[in-house]
Amino acid sequence: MVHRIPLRGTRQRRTIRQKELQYSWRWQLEHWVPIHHRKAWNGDINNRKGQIFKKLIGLDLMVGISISADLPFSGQVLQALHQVQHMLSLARPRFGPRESKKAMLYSDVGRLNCHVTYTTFSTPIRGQGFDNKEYSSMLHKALEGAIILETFPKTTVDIFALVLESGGGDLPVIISCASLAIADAGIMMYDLVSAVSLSCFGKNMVIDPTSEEEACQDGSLMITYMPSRNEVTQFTLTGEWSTAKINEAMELCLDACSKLADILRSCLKENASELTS
Amino acid sequence: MFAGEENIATPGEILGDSSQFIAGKGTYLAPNGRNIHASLTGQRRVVPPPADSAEKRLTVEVVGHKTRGAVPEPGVVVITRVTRVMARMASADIMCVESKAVKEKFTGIIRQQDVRATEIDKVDMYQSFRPGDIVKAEVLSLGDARAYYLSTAKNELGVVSAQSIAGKNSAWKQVF
Amino acid sequence: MMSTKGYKPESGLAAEIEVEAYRRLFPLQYYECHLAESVRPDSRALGRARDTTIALGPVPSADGSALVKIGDTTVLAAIKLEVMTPSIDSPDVGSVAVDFQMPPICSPVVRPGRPAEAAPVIAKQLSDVIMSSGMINLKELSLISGKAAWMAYLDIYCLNADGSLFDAALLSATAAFSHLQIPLVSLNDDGKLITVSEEVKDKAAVEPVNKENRKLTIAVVPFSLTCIVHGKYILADPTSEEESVMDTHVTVVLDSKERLVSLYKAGGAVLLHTSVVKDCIVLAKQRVEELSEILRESLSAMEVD
Repeated sequence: MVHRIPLRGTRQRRTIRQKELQYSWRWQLEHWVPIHHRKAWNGDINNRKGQIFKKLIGLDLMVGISISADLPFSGQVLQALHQVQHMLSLARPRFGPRESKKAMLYSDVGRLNCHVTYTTFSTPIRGQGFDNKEYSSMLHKALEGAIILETFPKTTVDIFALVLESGGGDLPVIISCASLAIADAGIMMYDLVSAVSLSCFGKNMVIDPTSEEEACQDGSLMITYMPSRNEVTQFTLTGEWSTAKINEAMELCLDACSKLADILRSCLKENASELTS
Repeated sequence: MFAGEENIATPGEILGDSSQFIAGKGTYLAPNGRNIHASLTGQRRVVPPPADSAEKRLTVEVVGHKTRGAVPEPGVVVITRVTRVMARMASADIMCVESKAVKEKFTGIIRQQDVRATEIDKVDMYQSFRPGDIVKAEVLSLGDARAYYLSTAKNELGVVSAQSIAGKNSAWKQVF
Repeated sequence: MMSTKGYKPESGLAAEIEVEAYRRLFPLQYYECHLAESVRPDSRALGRARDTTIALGPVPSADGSALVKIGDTTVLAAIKLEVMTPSIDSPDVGSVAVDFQMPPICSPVVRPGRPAEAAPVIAKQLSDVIMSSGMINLKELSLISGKAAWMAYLDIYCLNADGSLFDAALLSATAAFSHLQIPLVSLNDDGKLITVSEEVKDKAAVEPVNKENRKLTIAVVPFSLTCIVHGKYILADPTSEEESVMDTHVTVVLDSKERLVSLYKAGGAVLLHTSVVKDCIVLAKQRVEELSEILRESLSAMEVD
């Protein structure tokens, strides 16, 4: 059986959204992934995103995580960043909960507001800096299930993500970055959310694709995952897939998500122990 | 307090089993009723049960490594600055929650019936408050969509610092 | 940590609330207590600026970039170059466009959808200072006279606003221009300019137009220092809290040869005696020495790598 879903980035994108083909929901994974179907995965993400996240924190770019300021980018890291052509993104919840807007109705639980903005120099050719409404709502959906909104009734938490450089797989980086920022800000959450995307080219699959890879993909998959609860908060599938391949791709993504979450945790711990000691 | 990395919990981490522990602050019980997860980043701490209770399990809690901004809650004493006085109510900006300064602005409303405990219908709002007064008040409820409802109907509550028209500080001019 | 040395509770109320709450309720009194002891709440001396760091090249896809931190104020500048046709009046000069952005991430005062008022003001000041200081020779941005020249887009983003934004923005702009590496371009068969990637530059088929001259010569570097004047006190490099409590700001821009490029005092409650202005300039002179040392160090660190 083959699922045909139009590719993201094609003209049909608007129709996809209207038909709600981009699924976003939570459900228990045990019912979905056959457990025996596990494959070893080489941990590529350690070399890519891990480094970037660590460097972001080291630089105090993730505002709210404060480490001494004398850790500027070294040339080597720069090189590594350049090679992976990856994306830098900043996110932070804004200064703790704030009063909800006057126009909104009374609410017993807290609200979450997400804004994703691109800088003018984030794209290869300088463009207009713009708000990405689609990513904002995807970020909101990916995170709302992970935050314990009951702990701050009547108030709103704003999350701002600023994309400094876009190099493919933007949304997963934004989501992971935002979840790291929330966990650091002392806002209660059920679990960290880690996100990984994957592109498929015929029979091959590439995890954590660059923008060139994304431009010529046949299909894409993005999973946002709460690893210690084994729950998926968002699942986006576009393009042409067979059921067997979806399973394989999900396995790969979930494995990558768990590894990414371990990296995020070690970042948080490193930072928290430095602050408390 | 021991502050090694291994003693720090991050959101989602499993801290223990509900047969041995009770989920305290900064933690929650998973829907399956067994696992206790952390919900904050911070120090993991185990508190023994009070000696006189029948409960034998230890309480596990996580103390956040940094606190999020203070948020008003019902029953809490706040310090506010009056912004506007109307015939039936006065609105005020909440500046401190229990002596902790708030990071973001929250608005509160003191209604006429909440100014004092007795003779509530004879309260003249214009005699009680003036914009700029610093008022100690208690949060009654989360209020409506706009503001928190505040009350000064207790002896220790009321205007604690006010400026006279001449601009001099006259402290401790209580409502009572 | 917070210094409580100069803190004197002035009334019964002040005695029973915490220092933090007192700071919030009576900010001016709180600051005056500190100033009387010649110390600031972050334990700085009055004329002392915050620790400053410069990191070059944080945005690899830009032609030049720099991240500057002054205390908690964090500013990121990136330059992208594009080829344009110069105007007929000035066929052999390039051009620079400066923009300063304050996205909502930088401060609780900025709300999404409503751009910060301060941003265009700072952008204009920056553009004036960069142009009038003679830091950049626009002729160096020319490629082929009358036909092609570089348009340099300098975009500066404030990532965390904690006072003295103009100082941080100007420092990031000069650092980004020092870091700028002009890409190689060559003429193709149709007479259009194309960028030459590093891999093919050794091939004989393409002859780059701008083989030498890949860096701008930065003749003089402008540096700035913002001061707050409150009564008889002059506070250098204010934080955003200090800026909000006391409203007379003086920004002095000096270049590396200690010439005055610009002096800016935007109203404020205090009228300045010329002696106070002179004191501000003396403070700025010290700051210029500090900043040029920091900039020199970060540039030489980059060359080592």
